[in-house]
Amino acid sequence: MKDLNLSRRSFLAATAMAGITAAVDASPTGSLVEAKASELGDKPGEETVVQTLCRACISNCGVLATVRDGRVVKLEGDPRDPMSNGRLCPKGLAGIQALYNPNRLKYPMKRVGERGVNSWERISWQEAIDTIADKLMDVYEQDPMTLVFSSGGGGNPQFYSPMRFLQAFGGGNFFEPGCAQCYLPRNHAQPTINGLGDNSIADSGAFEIYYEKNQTKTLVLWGTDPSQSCPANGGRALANMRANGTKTVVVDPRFTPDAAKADVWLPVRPGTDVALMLAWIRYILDNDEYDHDFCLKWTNLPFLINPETRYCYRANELGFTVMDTDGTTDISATTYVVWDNNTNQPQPLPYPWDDALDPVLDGEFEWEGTAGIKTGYRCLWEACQDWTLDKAAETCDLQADKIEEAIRLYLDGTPHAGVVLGVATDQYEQSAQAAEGATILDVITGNLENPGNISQFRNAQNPGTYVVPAYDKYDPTHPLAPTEEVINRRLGFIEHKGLGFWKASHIPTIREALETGEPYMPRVWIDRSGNKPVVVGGANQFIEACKNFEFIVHAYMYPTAMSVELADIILPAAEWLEMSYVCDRLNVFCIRQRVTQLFECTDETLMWNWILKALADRGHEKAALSFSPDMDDAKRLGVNWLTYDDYEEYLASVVSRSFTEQYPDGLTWADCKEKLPMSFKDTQTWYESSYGHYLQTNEKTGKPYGFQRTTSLKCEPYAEGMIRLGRTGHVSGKYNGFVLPPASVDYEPLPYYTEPAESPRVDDEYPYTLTEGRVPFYHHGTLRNVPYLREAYPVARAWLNPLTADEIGVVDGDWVKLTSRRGETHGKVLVTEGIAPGVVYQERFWNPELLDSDDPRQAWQAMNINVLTKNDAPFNPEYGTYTLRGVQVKIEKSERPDGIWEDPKEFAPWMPEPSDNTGGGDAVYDA
Amino acid sequence: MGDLSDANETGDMDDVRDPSDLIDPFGTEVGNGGTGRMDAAGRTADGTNDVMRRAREFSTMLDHNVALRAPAMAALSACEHRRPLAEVIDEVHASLEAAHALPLQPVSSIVDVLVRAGVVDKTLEVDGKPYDGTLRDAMGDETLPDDAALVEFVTINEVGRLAQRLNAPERRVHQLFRDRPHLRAGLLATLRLCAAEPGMGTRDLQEELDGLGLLERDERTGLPTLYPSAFCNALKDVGALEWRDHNWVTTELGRGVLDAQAAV
Repeated sequence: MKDLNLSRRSFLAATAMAGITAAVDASPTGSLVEAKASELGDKPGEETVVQTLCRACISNCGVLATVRDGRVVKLEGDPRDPMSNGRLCPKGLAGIQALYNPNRLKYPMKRVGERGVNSWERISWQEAIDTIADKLMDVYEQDPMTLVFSSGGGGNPQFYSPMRFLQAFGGGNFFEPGCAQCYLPRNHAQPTINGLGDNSIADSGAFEIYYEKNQTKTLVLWGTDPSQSCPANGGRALANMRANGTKTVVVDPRFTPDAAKADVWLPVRPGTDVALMLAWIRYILDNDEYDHDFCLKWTNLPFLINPETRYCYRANELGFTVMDTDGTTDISATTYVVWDNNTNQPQPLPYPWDDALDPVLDGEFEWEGTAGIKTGYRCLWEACQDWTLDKAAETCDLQADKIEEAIRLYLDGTPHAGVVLGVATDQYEQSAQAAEGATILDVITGNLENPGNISQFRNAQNPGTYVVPAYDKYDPTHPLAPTEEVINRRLGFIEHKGLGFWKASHIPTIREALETGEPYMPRVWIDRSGNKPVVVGGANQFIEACKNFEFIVHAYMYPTAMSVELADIILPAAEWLEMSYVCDRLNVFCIRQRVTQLFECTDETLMWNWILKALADRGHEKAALSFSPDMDDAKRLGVNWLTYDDYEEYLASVVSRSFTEQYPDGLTWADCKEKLPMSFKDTQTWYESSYGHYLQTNEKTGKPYGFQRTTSLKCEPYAEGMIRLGRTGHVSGKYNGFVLPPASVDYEPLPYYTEPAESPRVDDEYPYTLTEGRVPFYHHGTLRNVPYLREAYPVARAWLNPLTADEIGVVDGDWVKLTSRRGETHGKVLVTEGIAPGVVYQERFWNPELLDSDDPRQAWQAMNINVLTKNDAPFNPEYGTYTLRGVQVKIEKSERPDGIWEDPKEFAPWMPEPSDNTGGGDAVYDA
Repeated sequence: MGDLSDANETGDMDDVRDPSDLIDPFGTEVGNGGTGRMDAAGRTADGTNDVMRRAREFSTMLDHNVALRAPAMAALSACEHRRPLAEVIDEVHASLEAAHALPLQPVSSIVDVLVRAGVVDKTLEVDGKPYDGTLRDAMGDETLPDDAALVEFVTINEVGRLAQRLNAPERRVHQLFRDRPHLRAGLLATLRLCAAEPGMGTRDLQEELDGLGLLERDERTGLPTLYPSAFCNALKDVGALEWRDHNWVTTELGRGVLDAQAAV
């Protein structure tokens, strides 16, 4: 590679230069594949542009990939993408360096030697699949629940494919390090209350921000920083909104780029968000700033609460008989009860409303010997009444007047305001409560389904972004759906039933099972994603426990600490430029198509299906059924595919469902490549049909649609569904048709505050509070092996306030050692006013350059804050969330860890080595 | 096999005595692989127990590499006397193959694991004479004739012998019952149920154990707090149970446990 002047070029220019340079200077090595241009069907030097979608993170931004002589030479954003409008972030632009990274896993390999030694032997896909299938057949017969299958957000995995595999396998535990610590709490709790959906920008919700006619007056960014987590999508849209006059409030311990541009920044103490939310709620109620009419008519706040069961009363419980408008259907069991001012007694309130009633919103009553019957509003008030601004300020290390300023800005924007909630509050013990609190704010102010609101009736296409479904998606009684026994045996699920929303098990309970062998010993682990030692909380303890697995398979694009420390077989996964997919982006269906396929790398869905086929060949009946066109709902669920061509036709069938009028015969993959991106609804209709949707008449029922994901069809800030979740397994009362045993504690229907288990208020030994967050160069554990991204952000930075730095005796650029009760790691100091005194911020990190050192463990220990975080109790009751933000550490001056790379020239060995299209793993393996 | 009823004591079972008490019965000193003379308890002159530490590290490594345990211990046994490496590899491969227990990786790499762990010494002879260096050194040594015969030899050392004792199946069975007394009834019941040919499948085992009340159902949820695989895998890991022809089958070691119990 030519030596480039790395210190003066811009990143974009560098990418283009590198691309061109790589194409010209490509030098064959032993592992490269070369093909003549004529064999590729191109004229030498001819360029083609392939439209595709990035998958360096979960945003799926549109990309135009330029291919010359069969090699990808340039990447740029696709202006037809309605969310990114042609922008592409550093992660996406680094796609060429990721694709042609010389350390790519090129073929399956098996370990030579003991775990922890970086020594491997190449094997064929046949041997790999046979070995895995033989082992899984034994596990299936011995105890299928002893299989653990994990995925993750990083490294372009399919979201539901692990669950799909486990269902065809007939058991097992699924986990991903995110889940209860990333998105699940919001994804589940928010629609439980607002009846619509979550408001996550980074997870491609919050569609309102992309509307060119956006009317959001105030946006509260709570624990989210789109300018860093999804710069091309959400960051771009947010910049436009601010330019068009939207006011913003940012609640974040860190002075992020979004905080820098906010009208009000609240640097909340990590782990105390719920206290602040309760103060917001109290202020709104106390100052009569809530939407009276909406709260009365479209929430369950006037409903009477049974003090014994804690559920909202149903009419039949109080002796009322209610008939539906047809006069023949008894709806007593589904009609709620209010206290009627007119008659001074409880009265049933049929959906949606009864003008004859004058319900009391705030009250406590006695009826027929039962005292303490409160309205939902009264319960909400009691939950927040102690949280004055002053108390919140003291708890959260804020100023009361700034809190009020933020609330007033939000109220001034109402009813065209909204709260977007990010991953920060998903990452500690109060994940459910934070999601509830944030949602209640928009509900009580009526900030739903108005222009500019974030909470809208605008669901993704079914199945939307997550294309490969699990078998119980449409029918829990499907022959491949999990049995009641399998569901009950998911480790930690009965206690933390919110995990069921993602069919997941509880990571700490899996760890305990590995440590104790009880209730059963997990035996085999298949991991599809990058680097569990870097992203799981309490990494030291977790990884130590994982060594008790008998057999571990790791599928990824590169060797990572996960591979070296733990794996027995590693499988080469495809990069996003080698994959196909489809995705609805707002009202537009977009396509990812394989631009090339290198070595024997393979899309994961093929891997799992090859394993299932091998199981089927060994007599596994469920696995065999997954390949049968006679399987129930085969067309919609997809008969498992064994070739990439078959997979692409399945993808085309998914797209076809959104275009039945225009293409009644359906679309082929060739059609999709030609026609996508394609709108399935015109933009204005797609956006504006949500406005006031809840008031529109549902033709099937003759009544308003309401808020369709709640039981009452009204918003439920008194989240009785959460109580029911804990007692039965689902907010509706049944999980997959089963009533499950109750959790050991009742889940609360309203938010409450709990001081973090490790608290700076009482901890003298570990006096500093650690938090983390996103940087735009990496996604979770990914991309630390990409030279240009490492150049931009080479090492983990420990943000310290000048006062904190003085206390410790360090200056900018010094190295520090951070120690918690669970381990120690290092970071390079960044002294900044952008973090409060007593708080330290550091991003997760790992160092691939240390994998070949004398101590490969340092690759995931030298600069990894997850050796400091918690993997033990207390957990969030609903989701089992452990603590990644808001743990206490001590900090001392230290030295730079040995062997880490920091100077740009050190990353030269990782510069791309382009290779040619081989057809990937499916060209060499015949299932 | 000693009486497991006193599995909480390390007392009178010579074969499985706590290693800190291990003493050569004739009181002779044992070699230490070149690190200095030691007494029979593996203590060096300065009082550190280097042999013990290394043997325990090897045991921990086996705990963290479950699939390596059986082939590693088989290879260790095959190194009882100084023998050519190739002979050891062939013999161990054949025995594992006959037992349908071939590991994922080649036997040669298993032996490398033992050498790296310091439980086996590997030496080289060139034309029948000791060579001070590795095979790679010899192959690059220009002073040696091209047709020189290079033969690697392996032999167990003091650390390896101690490691054998630490990892003796009987000891590990004893530790299982000692460390997890609450599983005792379930472990014994599993061994009994799987002792009759052809063994027992998981479903049948679950039904039997549940009928005996050994799955310890939680009062609140009604769900088992133990599943058959908790017993089966614990017994399998110590060699008292094996999976054969779709059934769990009690091994000779496991039958010894039952016999010991019957004798109490």
